[in-house]
Amino acid sequence: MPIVKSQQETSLKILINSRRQLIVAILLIWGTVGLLFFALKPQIENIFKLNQQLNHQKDQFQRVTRKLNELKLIQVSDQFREKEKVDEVLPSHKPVLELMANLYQAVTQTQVTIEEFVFHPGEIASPSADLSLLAKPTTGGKKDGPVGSSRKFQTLKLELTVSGKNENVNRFLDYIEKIAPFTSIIELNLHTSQKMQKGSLVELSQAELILNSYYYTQVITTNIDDSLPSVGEKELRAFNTIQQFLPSDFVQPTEIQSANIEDLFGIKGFEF
Amino acid sequence: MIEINFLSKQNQTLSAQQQKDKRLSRWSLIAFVIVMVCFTFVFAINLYLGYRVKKVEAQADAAKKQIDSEHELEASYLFFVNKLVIIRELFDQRADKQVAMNYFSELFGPEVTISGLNFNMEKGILSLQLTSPHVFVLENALATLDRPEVREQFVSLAKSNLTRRDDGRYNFTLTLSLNDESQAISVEEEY
Repeated sequence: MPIVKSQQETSLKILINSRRQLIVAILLIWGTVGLLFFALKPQIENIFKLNQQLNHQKDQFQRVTRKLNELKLIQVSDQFREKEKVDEVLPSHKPVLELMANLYQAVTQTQVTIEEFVFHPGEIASPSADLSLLAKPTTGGKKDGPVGSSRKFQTLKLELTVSGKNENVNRFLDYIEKIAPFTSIIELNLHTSQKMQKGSLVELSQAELILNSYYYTQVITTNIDDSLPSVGEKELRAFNTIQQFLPSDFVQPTEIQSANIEDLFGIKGFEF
Repeated sequence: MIEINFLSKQNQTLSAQQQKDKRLSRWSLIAFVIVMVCFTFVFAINLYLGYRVKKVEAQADAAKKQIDSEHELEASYLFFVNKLVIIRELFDQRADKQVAMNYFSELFGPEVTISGLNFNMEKGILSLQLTSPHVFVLENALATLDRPEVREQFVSLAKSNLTRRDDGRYNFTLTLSLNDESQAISVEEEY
């Protein structure tokens, strides 16, 4: 047995001595193949992955940079500076007091008389739509602009009967659709009559109206890298039109003026 | 002649084999070096890309933080635009009603008066109560409504509730749908 073992060792030594270059070549080939498959290939794959990641990051960076520029631009936008008028026309809360104050203003300006007034405001306090976005600034995938709930606005219904001279009632009908909050006549019944006043015949009208006033209730969710929506041409035209709405002298009460009063709201022309 | 120097022959064969091994070893070394150089190059690219990704990511994060700090302004603007869109929609719906009323007011002339209206803004259905001073004006008004150009303008036009009042006046109701098929509606001119 020791003789066989010794012969094997000798043969191996001879092989190593005589074919050393071959062994080195085999080792190098294995090394090369190993490098190719276990180091170079994963690194190349990683390059593609990193490149994709870089493009994504660049894209996101461009979007947020663009948004930052948009935010800078809107601060100097003429329309946005007048946003109070838009909030006045379409408030984010139930505009019970504003509506009644401006209705009284319309009645006094046009010199008509309110004969009947039916109003069911429901709960006077309503949640403000503005809080929803501030509470949930989200980050994540790109969406196509802000997404809103299905119901964009709510209506406040008002039944009203006014009477007066024909031209005054007509002026009232014209006036009432130009007050804030945005109010539309959805039902109208006109009755005309004639009456002798101070020796002359006066045309009188009575208008039974159902009015709808609108207020904003839409909840908006948006992503941090979503670009800001732009104001379209039609919206600009609507914006210019609401600038011609009749100015209101209503001031939102922010404090209790005095205690022990029966009229809690103190709206001119109305007693509660 | 028989070669008897086996060792010499063996040495010659071995030497040739060693030359081949040497060549193979050289080529293997070259291949190894090339792969090694490639690996170093690719590794360097990886490091560079990783650095770029982190850099851009940091820049984007800083910009996001800045946007987040201005989220009140953003919210305010989004509500401003959304409200303007809704106001425009409300104007569109209301303008439909005003255009239709003006159209029929001009069509019938001063003798027929609009004494009432009912407007469903969401469905775009407008009902007008019209009053005619006597039967001849009424006849003219009804004939006008049947004219082809009026029917073209308002495809869904319905007359109903014809009544005679005690004072001899006639009332009737005109119901029309103010949707896209109404060619008379050109809202853009209204506001």
